[in-house]
Amino acid sequence: MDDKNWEKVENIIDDLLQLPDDQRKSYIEKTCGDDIQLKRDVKELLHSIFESEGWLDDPEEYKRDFYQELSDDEFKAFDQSLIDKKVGSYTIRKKIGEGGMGSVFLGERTDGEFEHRVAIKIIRHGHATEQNILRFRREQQILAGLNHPGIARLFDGGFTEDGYPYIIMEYIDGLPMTEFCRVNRCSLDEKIKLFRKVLRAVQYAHENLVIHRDLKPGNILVTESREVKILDFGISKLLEEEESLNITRTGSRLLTLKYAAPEQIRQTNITTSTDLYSLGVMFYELIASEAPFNLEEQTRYESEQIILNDDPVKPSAKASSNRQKNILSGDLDAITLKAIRKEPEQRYRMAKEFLNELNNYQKGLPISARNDTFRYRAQKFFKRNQKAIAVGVGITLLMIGFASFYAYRITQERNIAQIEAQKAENVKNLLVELFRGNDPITGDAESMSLDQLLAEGTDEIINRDLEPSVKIELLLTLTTIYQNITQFEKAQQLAGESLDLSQAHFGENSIPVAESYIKLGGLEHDLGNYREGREYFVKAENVLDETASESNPLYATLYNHLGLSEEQLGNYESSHAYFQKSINVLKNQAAVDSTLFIKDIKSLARGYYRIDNYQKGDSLLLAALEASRSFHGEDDVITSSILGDLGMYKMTQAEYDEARNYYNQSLQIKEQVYGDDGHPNYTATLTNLAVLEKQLGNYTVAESLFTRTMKIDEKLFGEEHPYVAMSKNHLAGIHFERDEYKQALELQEEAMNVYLEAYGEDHYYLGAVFKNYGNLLSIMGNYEKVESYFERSKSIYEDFEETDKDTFAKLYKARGEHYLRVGKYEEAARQFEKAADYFDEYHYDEYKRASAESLIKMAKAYVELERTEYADLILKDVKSRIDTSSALANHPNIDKLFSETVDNLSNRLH
Amino acid sequence: MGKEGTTELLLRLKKGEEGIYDILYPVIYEELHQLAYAHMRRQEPDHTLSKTELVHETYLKMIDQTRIDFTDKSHFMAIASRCMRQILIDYARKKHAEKRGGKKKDKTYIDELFQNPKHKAEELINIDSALDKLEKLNERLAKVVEMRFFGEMTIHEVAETLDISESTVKRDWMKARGWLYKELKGRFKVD
Repeated sequence: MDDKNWEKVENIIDDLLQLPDDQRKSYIEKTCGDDIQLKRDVKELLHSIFESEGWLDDPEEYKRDFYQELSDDEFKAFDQSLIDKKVGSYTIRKKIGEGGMGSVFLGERTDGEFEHRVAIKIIRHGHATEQNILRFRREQQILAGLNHPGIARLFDGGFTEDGYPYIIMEYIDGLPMTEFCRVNRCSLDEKIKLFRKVLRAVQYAHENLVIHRDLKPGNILVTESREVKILDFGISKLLEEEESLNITRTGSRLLTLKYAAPEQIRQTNITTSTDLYSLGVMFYELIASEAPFNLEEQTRYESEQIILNDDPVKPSAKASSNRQKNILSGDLDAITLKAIRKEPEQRYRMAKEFLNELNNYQKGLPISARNDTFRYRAQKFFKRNQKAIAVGVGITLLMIGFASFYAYRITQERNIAQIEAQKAENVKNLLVELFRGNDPITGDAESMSLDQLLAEGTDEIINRDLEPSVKIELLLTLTTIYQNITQFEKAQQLAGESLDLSQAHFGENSIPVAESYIKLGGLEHDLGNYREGREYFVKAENVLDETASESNPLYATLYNHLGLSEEQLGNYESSHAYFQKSINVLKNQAAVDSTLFIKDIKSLARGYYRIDNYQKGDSLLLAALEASRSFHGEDDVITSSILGDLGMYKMTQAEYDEARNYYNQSLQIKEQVYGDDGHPNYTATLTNLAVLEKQLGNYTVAESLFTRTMKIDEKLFGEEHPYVAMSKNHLAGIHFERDEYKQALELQEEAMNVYLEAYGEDHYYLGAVFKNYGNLLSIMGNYEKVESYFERSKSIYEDFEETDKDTFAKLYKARGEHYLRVGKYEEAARQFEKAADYFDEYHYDEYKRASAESLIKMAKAYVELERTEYADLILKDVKSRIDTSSALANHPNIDKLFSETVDNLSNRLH
Repeated sequence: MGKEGTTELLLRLKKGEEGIYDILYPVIYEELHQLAYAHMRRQEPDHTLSKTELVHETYLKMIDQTRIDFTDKSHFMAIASRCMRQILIDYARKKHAEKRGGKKKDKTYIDELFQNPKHKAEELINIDSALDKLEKLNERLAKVVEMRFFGEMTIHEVAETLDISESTVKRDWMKARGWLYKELKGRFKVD
């Protein structure tokens, strides 16, 4: 640039920097005119300004890098000066490595013939203050105690004459793990094998409360004989400055960022899972041949931000070939990503967990890092058994194999039999477990074949001539499987076979018969036939009373089922008692069936809520939630159903946001487990969420939720199921709110018929249904049967002790409106008066309005009856309510009704 | 010279007393140099974690803050920035010379730590000579770089010292940076 031009250039640039982007070009043209040199200089500098953005902007970091360059050189000279010096009883021979804290030397000591070689680490920084020395010695003691073949021994430590701390360690002749694998072209299996050795060593150290805090390939050497040796265990803590000791952290600048966990960058709590993160990164590198994050071109700050914020891609995404991609995707992806989660609590917390996952992976067992979906488990299940079982008939053969275990038990000696029985039990549990999450069985080629296999296996079992007890066991297991995948008909058929066989072989009074009854009852219950279900349970109870002792665990299952039946049938006291009995039986067992126990607690909680003891209910449910989370897991179906219950009871306590939150948590798990086709457990919660939205007046949302629920339930159970009816019932309510009476009436009628079938005409549920139906008929002008429906509704309400006054109030109001319509004004006035009285006992705005509305309508009835003085008095009362209550002020419906009635009245008066 | 002494000098500088700058400069330089030396020599793992940078640290160490106001602080910082530039460049030159004579540093696996492919020393020397050139074109721009980059002064502090608006400081910084970048690009790969 020409110096003469500089001033001009600078001025133009000043102007340009203050102009918006799009005006710059024309400004340059305008101001530079024909001066080509000036124009070029301006453009060049402007370009350079934008191109250099960010450069020199972080002087602190710039200098840090610069100091580093300087010190590197200084230390080189320092290191050189140490050669041939004595440290402890060793002589320093040569430098073999270099790190942020100092350099590592080869030391030798000659004891007569025997030459002893060690690695000596001399720390450049750090000062031999009295305190430091004390602490150093203390830490050194702990580390010297670490005695594991996978961890390099710490022999000695101290301070050199110049006051530099040193450490004398076992000398390892090996390669860093990543390099070793590269040089030796290790297979994936070999890599995992080596890595497991690392994990075992780390586990040992962690169990001795020592955290490494700087694990990286350079610290993990593999010797020629494939022994793994971890160097520098706990060294970073040993060398930590005194002041930073209170918080467990390490000078983060010393860390190799590549393997540093987010919490190390944030300098928050360092725990064992910090080490596991570093190992996770290394594992990633081992299997994907690349680190999770590319930090090479990044500044320190940028790198830190990447580690803190960026999500790593799956290792399989970095695979160089399709073959490798296939191997990595799935389990290894999941394991690796879990190990390097940002949140420490989401990672493997102990080396053992990581180790178990790798063990499971290598054995083909399910790993915990993957979601518990049906498909995944099924895949594992068949993959694992491929070797033992001919492909294609997997489940059939497995079943037969299982059966033969039982046969074996009968003929062979006892201890072997027990082992085999245990195996059989495991197989059975696995099968049930496998199908508990109902993934889409239909519509997917992969699962179709599974379905096929299951069907074939079932036929095989039915047709085979098996030992009866074995066959019964298998039939009942299959029943549970079919029940879980909601193929109730097939399940019933199998349970029926089991019952027949049990009766034929063991007689009516036998445990297998009782078991079969319980199964059959459970199926009826699932199908919404609660009374039929209860009949089976009562039969089962009779059989058990004859054959089993009081403490038989089967009683716990039976009582749980009976409790559920009674609950559905509205016999809440007896239901509550059954759940309590079930828990009592469970408590007397040596080994508690935790799942049943949790279910019982959950049911008991329901009982407390029902009698408005929310505190007790909440505490039971929260206890169940905690138990289930630790026993079943965070994402388990049972955990999710407890969350769903919590939502429901929060809803009844009008804590809507909390309720919605619980529902969503529950639904999230269920969606994951059950997939798109849904499951009764899923639709139950979906229904409740829909009810919540309806209650809050979000009708559009509620409508779509109900419709979805209804469709899923229809597919699962058919149209005649009470669940489907329930959705229809609510949808009718939504249409009612929108004044779409015709649709409302249709849906209400459909729902009513199903309810009548399922619950019988005296059931409490029918009270509201009859009332709504009557109300709709009346609105539609179809007066004939209205009164009889209202009467039926009233008698159900009256029979049921717990009926609340607002329920009656709503009925009275609907009745009053009907009488108003048909011109029975005396009756109308009476109904409205009762309605208003009952509504007045509540303080909800909604009820205040309902009460005012009833009163106005009552006045209206009196106007019709020409009893104007009454009407006037009532309207004055309403007027004073409107003037003093915010719930009533400016409410369009009330206002309209009120002024209409006042006009009406004054017309009559004049 | 103790805290009282340097604070006194700074106050006299503010009053416009002749010759004070020449007394103050070497005092600050010496203090800063010692600090920088100790800093690099000790190579503490957390040296870079300290919130106060060297220039600020020197200020805290040398000046009795109860006796001076913000403007005085800025003036001190401006001088210290200049000292800092000189100190850093001296180190960079020394290192650069060694490098030319010495052999290439061999890298081992443990050396991943602190591995630094960016040759700051060389770049600093280049910046320094470019700054000298810039000073001739517009002295203020060079000063802004000195204070912002070497002294790590805030925009507010720089504006205060040079008695210009903050937006002018920002523009000056952009112009200077662009100019330096353009200068260095020809000779040295800037990253």
